Amino acid sequence: MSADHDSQQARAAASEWADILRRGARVASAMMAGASDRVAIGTTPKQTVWRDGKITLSRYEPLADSAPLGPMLILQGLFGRQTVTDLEPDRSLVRRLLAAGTDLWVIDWGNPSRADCCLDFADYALFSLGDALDQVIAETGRPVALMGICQGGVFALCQAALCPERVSGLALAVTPVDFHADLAGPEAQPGLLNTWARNLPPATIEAFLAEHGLVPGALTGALFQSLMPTRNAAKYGSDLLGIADDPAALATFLRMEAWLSDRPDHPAAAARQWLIELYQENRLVRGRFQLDGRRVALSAITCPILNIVAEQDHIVPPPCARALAGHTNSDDYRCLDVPTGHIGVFVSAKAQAIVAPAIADWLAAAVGDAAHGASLFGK
Amino acid sequence: MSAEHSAGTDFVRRWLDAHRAMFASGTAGPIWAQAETIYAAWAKAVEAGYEAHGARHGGPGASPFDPAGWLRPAGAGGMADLLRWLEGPDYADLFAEQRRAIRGTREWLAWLAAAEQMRAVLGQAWLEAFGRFAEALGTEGGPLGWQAIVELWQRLSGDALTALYATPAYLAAQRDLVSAETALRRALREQIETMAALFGLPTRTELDDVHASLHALRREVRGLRAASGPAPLRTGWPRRRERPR
Repeated sequence: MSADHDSQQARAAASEWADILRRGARVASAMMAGASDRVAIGTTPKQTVWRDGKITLSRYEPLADSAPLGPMLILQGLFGRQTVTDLEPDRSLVRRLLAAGTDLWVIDWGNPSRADCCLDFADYALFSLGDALDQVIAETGRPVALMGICQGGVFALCQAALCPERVSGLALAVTPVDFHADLAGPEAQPGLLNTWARNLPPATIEAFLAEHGLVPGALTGALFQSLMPTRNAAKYGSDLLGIADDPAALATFLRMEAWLSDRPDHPAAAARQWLIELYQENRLVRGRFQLDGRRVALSAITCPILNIVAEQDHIVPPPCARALAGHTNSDDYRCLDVPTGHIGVFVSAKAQAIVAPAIADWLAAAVGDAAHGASLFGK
Repeated sequence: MSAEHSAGTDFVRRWLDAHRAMFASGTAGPIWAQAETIYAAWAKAVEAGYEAHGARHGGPGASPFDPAGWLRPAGAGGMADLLRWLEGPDYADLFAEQRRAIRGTREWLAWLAAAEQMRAVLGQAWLEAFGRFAEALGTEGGPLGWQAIVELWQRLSGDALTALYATPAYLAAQRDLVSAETALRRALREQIETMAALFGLPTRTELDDVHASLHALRREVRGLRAASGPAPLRTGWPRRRERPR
């Protein structure tokens, strides 16, 4: 009985190991193939229409017969690439918005280097974004709805507060506004990134930025990964083996890796404001954040707002994003809770069916032609 | 403070009593008993002092009793004064290079100590995770497949590390590591820039100055343009293609 039992167990273990090896071989083979163009991301066709140094403004080619919605400009922050909104054809916020008839534009901040160490929030959120918006307005003759992602959402808020005539509406996704909202209130749960940012004395941050001249993208990536410490072990281990027999899932995995590895460096001057003035001193909601000597007053924002919050966001705690509700004077403020994490808002299969339709409906109803937009998604 | 003080005076009183007893009786038994009492009082005094000191010095390296702080002691007093005394005063550029080299080595050692401190803090969490993992394996009924084992380990170690990341010990180690890394970079850069200056090579500092000047100039040009009226739309960039219908 026990010899048979042992023998059965040995056979089961051998079979299991053989399966692991087979899956591993498949993954390795997919990765070899992934070195070619199979992992290309951000492939939706667009034309670059303006360039200033490393910064480019592009307009997507329409996918619908007409483009009654918008114009809308997508802007990421400096910690990640805007290509997350266009990971692959089936997981593309960009494609869905274009299909809904949005006149869609995107700004790419390029790859800042140490030569850009002095660029601060005024350069990005006020000047360069303002120049790009002027180009869009000149082409379309209309103010522009901004879709700001994470730090890009803060850029969008600054632009809308200081130059409201350029902005027709704000769609903000996973955007921190009250950087201390994780500490108080009914949802209080200290965010790890917030805790770490508050942990370093300002003098230490200043010294670090002075020595490095930027926050290396590799360091940012490592920090984000360490927020979920064993996630990588799972991702590159059991998760990867689990999708070994699914070529489409493997391709998506590799595209996500391509996006993660394309993390730009963050200029020191802007990082100083981000870490000290916003994360530590929380100046944005306290009305003490200044760009080029001008105070950013969130109360000056009156345009329609769609605030997209990721319910399981481990980078921007949801209370920090939801806090926007009480700080603007917009008569049309909407909040959309998405049951995903920070990046899942743009790439998860679940979010594909929620986020793009919500933005298009909001564009149609709040910003543009309500009657036309309401019919876009069969409502 | 008062507990520490009373423990200290208690220790002295017992020590004197022991000597009195030794001379009065001439026997070893009572003296040994007194010695044990003295040791207990001394240990209590040291512990009270250490706790009081720990409350005053938060992070690793802040306390003179912590080796992590011996190389880069914070503030004044204790090891900071001792190091200043050992190194002596700065006389213009006398031995400046040697001092810079010593500082570089010291910062390197301090960085190693800070990295070791971080490893120790992380190691503690890994040990706890492993303990919980072993315990969970023991309580699980029947053999687990490889996926279940991996998932169990990931969950337990993830929980242990996530809990650790918000603890004072981890945060202190993190502060110290960032600070030590920055100080090491600065010390090395200063050495390298001194060598570069000898051969007339441009330095990082000079390049940063150039970038700062360029940035200030660009801001000024933008301000002048804005003052002279609305900026015309830029031309010469590729215009978008006709939109396909």
